[in-house]
Amino acid sequence: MKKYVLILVSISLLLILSACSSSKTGSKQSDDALEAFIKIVKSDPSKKGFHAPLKHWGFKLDDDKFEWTKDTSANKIDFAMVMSAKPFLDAGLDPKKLNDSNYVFKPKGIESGMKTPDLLIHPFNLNDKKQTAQGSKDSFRRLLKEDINLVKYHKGMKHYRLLLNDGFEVQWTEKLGLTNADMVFIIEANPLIDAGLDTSKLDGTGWIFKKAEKDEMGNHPNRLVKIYDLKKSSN
Amino acid sequence: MTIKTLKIEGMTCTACAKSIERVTSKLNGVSEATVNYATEKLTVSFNDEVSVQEIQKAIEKAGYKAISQTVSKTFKIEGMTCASCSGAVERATRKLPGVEVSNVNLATEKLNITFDPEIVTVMEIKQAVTKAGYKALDNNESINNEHNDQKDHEIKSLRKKSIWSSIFALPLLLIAMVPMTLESSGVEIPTFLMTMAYPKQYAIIQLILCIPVIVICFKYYSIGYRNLFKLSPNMDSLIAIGTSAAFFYSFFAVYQIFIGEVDFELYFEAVAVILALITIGKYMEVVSKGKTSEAIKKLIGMVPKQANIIRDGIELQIPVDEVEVGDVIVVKPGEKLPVDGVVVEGTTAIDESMLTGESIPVEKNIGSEVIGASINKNGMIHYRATKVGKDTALSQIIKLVEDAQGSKAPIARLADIISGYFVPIVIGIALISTLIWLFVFGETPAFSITIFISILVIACPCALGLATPTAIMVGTGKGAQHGVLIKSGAALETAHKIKTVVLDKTGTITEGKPKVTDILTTNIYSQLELLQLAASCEKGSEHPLGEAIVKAGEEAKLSFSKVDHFVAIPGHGIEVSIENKTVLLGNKKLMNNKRISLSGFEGLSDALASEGKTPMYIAIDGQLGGVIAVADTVKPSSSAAIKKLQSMGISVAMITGDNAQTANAIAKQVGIETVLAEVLPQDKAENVKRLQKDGKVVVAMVGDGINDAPALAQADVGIAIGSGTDVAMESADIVLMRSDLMDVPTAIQLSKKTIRNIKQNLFWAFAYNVAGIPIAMGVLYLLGGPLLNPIIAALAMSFSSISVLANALRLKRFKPLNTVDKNKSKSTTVSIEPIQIQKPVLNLSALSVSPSISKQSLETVVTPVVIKETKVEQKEDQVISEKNVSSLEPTKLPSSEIEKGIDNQDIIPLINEDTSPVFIVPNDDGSCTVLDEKDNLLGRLVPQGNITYIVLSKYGKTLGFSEGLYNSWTELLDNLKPIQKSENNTISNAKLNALENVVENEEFMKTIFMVPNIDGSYTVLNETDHFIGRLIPHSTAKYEVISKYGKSLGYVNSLYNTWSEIFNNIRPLQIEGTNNQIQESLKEIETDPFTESKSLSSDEKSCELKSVENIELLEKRDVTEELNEKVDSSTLNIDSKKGNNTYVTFVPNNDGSCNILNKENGLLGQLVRQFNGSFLVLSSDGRSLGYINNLFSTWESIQENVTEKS
Repeated sequence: MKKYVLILVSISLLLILSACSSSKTGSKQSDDALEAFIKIVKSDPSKKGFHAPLKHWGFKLDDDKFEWTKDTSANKIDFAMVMSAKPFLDAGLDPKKLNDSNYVFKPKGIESGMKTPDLLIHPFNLNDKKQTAQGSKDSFRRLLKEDINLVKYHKGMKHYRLLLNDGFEVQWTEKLGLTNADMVFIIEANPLIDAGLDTSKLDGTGWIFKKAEKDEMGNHPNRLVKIYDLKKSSN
Repeated sequence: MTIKTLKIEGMTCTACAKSIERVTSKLNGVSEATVNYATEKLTVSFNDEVSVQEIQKAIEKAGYKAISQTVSKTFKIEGMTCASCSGAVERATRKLPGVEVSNVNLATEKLNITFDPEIVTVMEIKQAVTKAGYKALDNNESINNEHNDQKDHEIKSLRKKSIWSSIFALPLLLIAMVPMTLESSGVEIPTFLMTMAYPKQYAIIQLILCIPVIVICFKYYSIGYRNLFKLSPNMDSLIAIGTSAAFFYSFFAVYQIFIGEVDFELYFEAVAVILALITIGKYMEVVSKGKTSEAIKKLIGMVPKQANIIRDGIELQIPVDEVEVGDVIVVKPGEKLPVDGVVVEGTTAIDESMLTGESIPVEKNIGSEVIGASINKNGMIHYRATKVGKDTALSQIIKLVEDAQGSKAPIARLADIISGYFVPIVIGIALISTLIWLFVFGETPAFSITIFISILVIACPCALGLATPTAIMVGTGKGAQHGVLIKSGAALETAHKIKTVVLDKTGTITEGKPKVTDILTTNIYSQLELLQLAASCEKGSEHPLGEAIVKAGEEAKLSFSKVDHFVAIPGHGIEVSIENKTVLLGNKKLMNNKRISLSGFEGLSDALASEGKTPMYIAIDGQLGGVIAVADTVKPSSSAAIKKLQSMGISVAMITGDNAQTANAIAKQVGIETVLAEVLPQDKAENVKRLQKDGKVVVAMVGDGINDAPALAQADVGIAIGSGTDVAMESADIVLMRSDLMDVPTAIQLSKKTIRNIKQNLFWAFAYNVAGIPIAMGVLYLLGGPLLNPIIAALAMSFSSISVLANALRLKRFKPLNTVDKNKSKSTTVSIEPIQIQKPVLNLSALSVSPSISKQSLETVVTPVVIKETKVEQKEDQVISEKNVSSLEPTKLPSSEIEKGIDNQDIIPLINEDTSPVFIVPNDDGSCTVLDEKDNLLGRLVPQGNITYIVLSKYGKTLGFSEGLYNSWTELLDNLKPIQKSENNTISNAKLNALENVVENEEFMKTIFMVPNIDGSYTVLNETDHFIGRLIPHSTAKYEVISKYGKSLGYVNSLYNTWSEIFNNIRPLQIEGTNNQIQESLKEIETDPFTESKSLSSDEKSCELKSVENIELLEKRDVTEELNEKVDSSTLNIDSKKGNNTYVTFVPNNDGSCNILNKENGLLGQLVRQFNGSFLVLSSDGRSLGYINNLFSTWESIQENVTEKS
């Protein structure tokens, strides 16, 4: 009997040790990105929330929100950049002209007994695989694990880029406090411009228009960028 | 070497049993340790190197408790006056080995003592107290009561736990499952029901509901972890580890929820529901286990608690435990006998059916042995106790059954070995699977925990541990109920593989009560001289043949000479010196060895042997004196039993020391082809060995055990037949309590069914585990399928135990082969209103004697017919019409038929040319009356078993026999087969052959033939097959003689060749106490109705059942007179209406009816008791006169009070 117990314990230890040394997401870069993101989320737990019906987590960024799903099979939105549509609407955006684009306009309404404003959403579907994540970290980890190329590291800016569709990114800093850009939303501007957006009228909304360019990260189309300083927003 | 049995507490599965066996076997001095998980007992063999206390300590160290089966008793102590007296009693009793506690209360004068009854007895304790100068009296508690109390307590405790754990687990389950299920189904639920709306609150509620369940079921954790740390994990360890993991993970999840990770899953409901389900399963298991041991409880319950003994001339009532050998016990009618003994005063009849299966009460006289727990029927007796306590037959049977239940069949050992390793392997699989999912597949801890719990729970081996012992318990218990005692599980397992059965002849196939049938002499000695010499030689013999000769000598009232020298030559005979002569008595081998010339007697001897008799030569001083033939009758059930064995694919052989011819004759009667004759006792074992073919064939030997011991031991299964008190119990593996050979196929059938049941149980037990573990590991999930929910796993695990137990309990439905399974047989209910008239049967012998008979209604044979709702066996492809017979009128045969019948000596039965269907009316005696569409009597069918019938014409003549029933009388007659009374008898029924006697003797009238009926009675026919009368057997070797008119004439002690002989030997029938039905309905009357001093009032509705002691012995008389008298009377009733009251007596018949006789013993009529307590009154010719509700003292009163309806 003792022999069997010894064998069992040895196998268990072996498994645990091997597990400890293995990657959580499948790449070091993604692991680091994950850790950095979780730290950001933990820095202000009040901004984190869970939407049970849609099975996704969300992190509030001013009037906007970054969402990630707990279960990729729950719906077609595995990542979502949820933005307040008001600045865009005020800048001349016609939501009706957003069809066939990477944007979804959600008009204001009442959800779970609470009023919701006009929203502009960029959804991203990773896959439809059944997941059984537990907790926000685990959910994010599983998503990163699905595709190790989802996240890239920008050495110069010391931040991580979550690459969603072309022109859409969510970025977060490597370490809180390094810069004022703790998190960044980058969205493609052309579909909005085509829908009537006048980028010159976005001043003061936080959204900055950036013309198409090429840099060490590659070609970039016309974009709108918004920087979130979490220290400032928590204050 | 000492063998001790200890009760073990704390076991929860067979892994525990294995653990205890391991621990105990390791001790120095212990040679063998076996634990029976089902009965919770450890049997350990050990020498002086180790003590019981050390064994108990070792077991306690392993985490269990081993307790001697101590008993606590309270005695009243007489003679104490002060504290020093009580001290003396305590000291005296504490010195006794086996006494654990002894305390005396001076104030109450009571001694409370706890002791091991296996080491010290009540008597020894009493003796110790007596020796100290005091007297101990009082009641005690039995081991069985204590055991029952413990079991009851365990059941109650588990029931409480099941209820309380369910009270908490159910709402927890609802809270966890219902909102989630509704939400995911899209159903709108109020906010307060949304667990995600209030995650913290719901988490706390679930935690609060889960904790009480853990507390209630804490035993699983305390025992489980203890065993785990001792490296002997058991079922509780699995449950403990699994639910602990779930609980602690859920606790961690609560913390996570509180810090914002609200989507963490909780498993509190899984923990609670698993524990509750397992507790419920355990409760049902204990209840079911109690049912499996019902047989033992029933046997134990047979023993009365009190006994009436006579001490110093005073009758005392004492507990049965205090009865001692030598005590004289008084038993009144209706009471149970407390212990075994020998009758010293009184006579009675005792019902021993629960032990021997003999349904007819056995008469007991002074010197007769009686068995404890049997029931005294009608007389009061005093008997001396010869065996008490554990020595009684019942105790031996109980022990035998308990041992059998406790013993392990080889298949059980296999299950034990597997379950012993199962638990650690399962833990290993669970751990490794969990780690693989967690670290290799990167699943969440919650997912991995689910895997972990599911594997542990579904893999519980409790069903595996129950599979075999429960089936064995029920199987052996069922066998015991039917008189089949299987001594071990190994015997049970081997019995089902039997391919050959070897039957001993004498006492097994035959009754074992041979009788002298023929004495052939040379001219040197007369028959009586030869018999006297032979009987004197055999006086001390225990051989059945010798005993038969001695009995013949005693019956002939011969005096026995003293034997000077006696030598038994096994397998040959005896050589005796007697009266200065050397006598040789034995078989042909003996004569040949001693070179005795057989003087031409060989042919005669062979002729006797060919009739199934055993010829024994007797030679005096070197010269043949003659031959004494002894015949033993074949048991009624032998043929059927052998046929049944053969139909089961089992070869049957007969082995005997008897000569080949006799053996072959008997073998032919019963259908055996393989005969091993003239086998010496020492060679029987060798013959059995030869049949075994070096172990390739499983052979059973059936014998009475006394001289068959080597053969029984050599056989793979030794089966002893006969009384359980005999020494047969020692040598055989299976003991058949009754002398019925049908119990042999029953035992084999029981074995087959039990083994099949065990295999089914093992399959189900394994199936759940084997199928469940991979699913629990997530194999299906990997392939896209579902995961196994831990709650479903718990449900499946509990269900597996229950299904195994339920399957084992199915064995309780087993019925022995000689009982009719009314549900299965294709039968049709014949719904017949009670009380209808028997169709009269024309009696030709009467007609032929007196041709001047009037052609009116003829004599009838009044066979009482109480027609109940009964069933008629029918072949599937034959349709026999039955009719609801509401009223039958006596048949008035047309004169032409009567004349035809009278004139023609060879009576041709009235053939119904018409092929219209016949109606078959079953009679109470098992025969069937055949009627045509107009209710005319066509004939009678007397079943012989196996759809064979003797066909009688309506005149009573035997027409032949039929192998089946037909649609019309014509068809039946067309298919008749003749009854041949020669060797090639076409009726494969040994009874017919055995009873026919063709020995002619000029002194006697022509011979009679006795045709056995299915109820055990005999129809007596003369040479021309005419009905003469009936013989009804009563208990031992007594036959009630019924005339053809149905009148009871008395009884005879044996069967005779001719009716005249029967008449000459008739004795009066003592009827007191023989017919309870009549006795119950009678009240005592004030006067003897045969005196005229007092007449009964008109309201008096009672009658005296007069003892028939003073009924005159019927003399031989010409029955013509009686017949004429009856026939001439227009009413066929004795004329009773002449102004005088005709006082009656009632003579009960064996079938529950009674004849009504007048003062001259003339038959007036018959009473047939009805279900509602009234009586049907039949006239002397069998016509229904109506019903009466009470009995009356005169025939007139009876006739006046008959009503049409009951």
